[in-house]
Amino acid sequence: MRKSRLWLTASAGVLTIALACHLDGPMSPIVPVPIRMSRFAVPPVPQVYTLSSQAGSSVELTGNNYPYNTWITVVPNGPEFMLTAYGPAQPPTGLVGATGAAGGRNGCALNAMLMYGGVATWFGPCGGTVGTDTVLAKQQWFLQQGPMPLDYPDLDCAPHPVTCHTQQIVPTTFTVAPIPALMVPVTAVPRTVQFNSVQYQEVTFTTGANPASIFVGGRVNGMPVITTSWVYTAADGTPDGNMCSGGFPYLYCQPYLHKSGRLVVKAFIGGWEQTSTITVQCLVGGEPALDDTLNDFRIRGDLLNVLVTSNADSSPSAGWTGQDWNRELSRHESGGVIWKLAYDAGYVFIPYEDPTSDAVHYHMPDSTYAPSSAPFPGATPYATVHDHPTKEDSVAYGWHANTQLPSGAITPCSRNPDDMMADGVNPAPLCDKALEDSATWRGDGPDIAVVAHRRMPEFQITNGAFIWRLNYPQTTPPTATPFRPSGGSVAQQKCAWVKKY
Amino acid sequence: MRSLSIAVVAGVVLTLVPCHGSAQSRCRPADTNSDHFVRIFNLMMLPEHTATRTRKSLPLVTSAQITVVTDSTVCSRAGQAMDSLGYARDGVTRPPSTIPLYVFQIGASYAVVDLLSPNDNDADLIYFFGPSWNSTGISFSQ
Repeated sequence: MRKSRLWLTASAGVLTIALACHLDGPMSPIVPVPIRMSRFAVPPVPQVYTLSSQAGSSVELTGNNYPYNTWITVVPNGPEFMLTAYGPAQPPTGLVGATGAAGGRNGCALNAMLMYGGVATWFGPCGGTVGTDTVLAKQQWFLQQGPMPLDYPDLDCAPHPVTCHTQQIVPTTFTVAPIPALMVPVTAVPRTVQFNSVQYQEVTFTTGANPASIFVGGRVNGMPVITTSWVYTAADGTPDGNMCSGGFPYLYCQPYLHKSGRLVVKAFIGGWEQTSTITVQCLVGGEPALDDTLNDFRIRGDLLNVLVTSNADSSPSAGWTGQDWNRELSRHESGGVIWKLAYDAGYVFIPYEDPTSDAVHYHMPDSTYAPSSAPFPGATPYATVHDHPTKEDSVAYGWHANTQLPSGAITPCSRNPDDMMADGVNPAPLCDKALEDSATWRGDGPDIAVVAHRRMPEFQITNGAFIWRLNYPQTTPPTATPFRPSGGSVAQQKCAWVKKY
Repeated sequence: MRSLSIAVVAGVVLTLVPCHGSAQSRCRPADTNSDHFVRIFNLMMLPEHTATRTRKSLPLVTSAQITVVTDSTVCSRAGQAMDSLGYARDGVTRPPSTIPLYVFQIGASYAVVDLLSPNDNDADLIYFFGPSWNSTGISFSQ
């Protein structure tokens, strides 16, 4: 309430000043147009404005009304229009462009101007070559056409009785665009923190603009960067750290953090609000694909995302149509391949969706991880991945027909909610997932065979517990290394993996 | 309900299929595979997993009462029970199977794991049986 009253008072003051000044031409509206930040969520496109050549006309740059300082270029597109002079009146008859006509009593006539409050800029020396105007814009700007030449008909063009000049009225256009600038990807120092062994850690996040400066008006000018928010969210979804307030032109923030998480910083640069993000996580050690700081631990997020692809939280019968499974809804195993990039550029995960997979079956053709399938030149297959989306004690349907009992009969496990035993009376039994034992797990038989066949490690993602790496080369017996993306002790929870943004 | 129905079916089948005591006489010896399943059965005895244990009609037993079976008679019976499940599943009469199995005794109940038959799924199946070899449920380890 107090703020509104203050604003009203300020507006009234501006109104009083404006009325007293008797400025020629259109006045800036007294009430600022509200700026919706949602307008600036995407990169700006050039705006084209039409300004009548008629003296004194104006147009507001509504598409370039920025909440913060923004360098823009304004390019006059023409066309030129005819100014007709009678007798010896100056300026003489001729075509007029955005820089207007020189030589008259008022110095310059019919010159287009950029107006911000009482400040005006031009497109070049009066009557000269038309150039691009580069200005630091903020809030309401107008394009305004200059006045007609100042004439004294009795002196300047006698015996012409009324005016010495007439002009052609045509629409002229101007293209307005912000000078492109991108947000410098935010960095974190230190890059990783073992949150499970420290109470808290001060981390410095830094961003900026690219380019950092531009050359305008014969001097170097900094590219404006206004950080509008800094938010650090821990992997468990809770806010963490004493974060910087948004709205300050700070390019860095130094919170004390307690848990792994993701920083999201937004900044207004180049005419739009840009976002950059980085995670701060613990190293797992011994698994470079999971400690790929160069790519912000993206393999971790990709592995967690496999469960999403699998519809891991669907009920066992979700997606059963009565005849078949709708894979958009049904729980089914998913996976892919982790590739090691050339030149130590880290790792990348390429998903592979098996169209025949179900809750307990996933098949990846050999061609998927063949070197010839490398997603980037020089990339080599590092490990294959699939998930086990069924939680402990939960039922799973599926069960391929060539999963057999010792007699050669198919397993009795119910393949779908309508599956019956041979007598046609009794439903096939529901099979549920046994308890997981992290101490002795080395992969189920088929998965151990897969590792031997592919000759590379296999990551197994379980729903709600561990991510396992079935190790290669295989030993006797085979071994598997557990990684804990969430849960566990309080200390372990501080090192939870951060999901994809 | 389904567990009950499969138990009834298996029970009936067991009485119909001739008993070939010599067909399945080999159990697989204890090894790292059986160690894993023994751990799972022990976990099922924990208080927080009572519901899991109850669903499979397993008795509450001590760790010492969970053993890998070596007795050939019990192993043979396990093979018959598995074959009965197959018959109940598809109604096809087959000769007795001979594939070696892991057989576990859990108090008076049993569990059987077959890691050698064709398995195109991404799981190892655990078949639970009651004291009279009636099927009491199936779980999968993955």
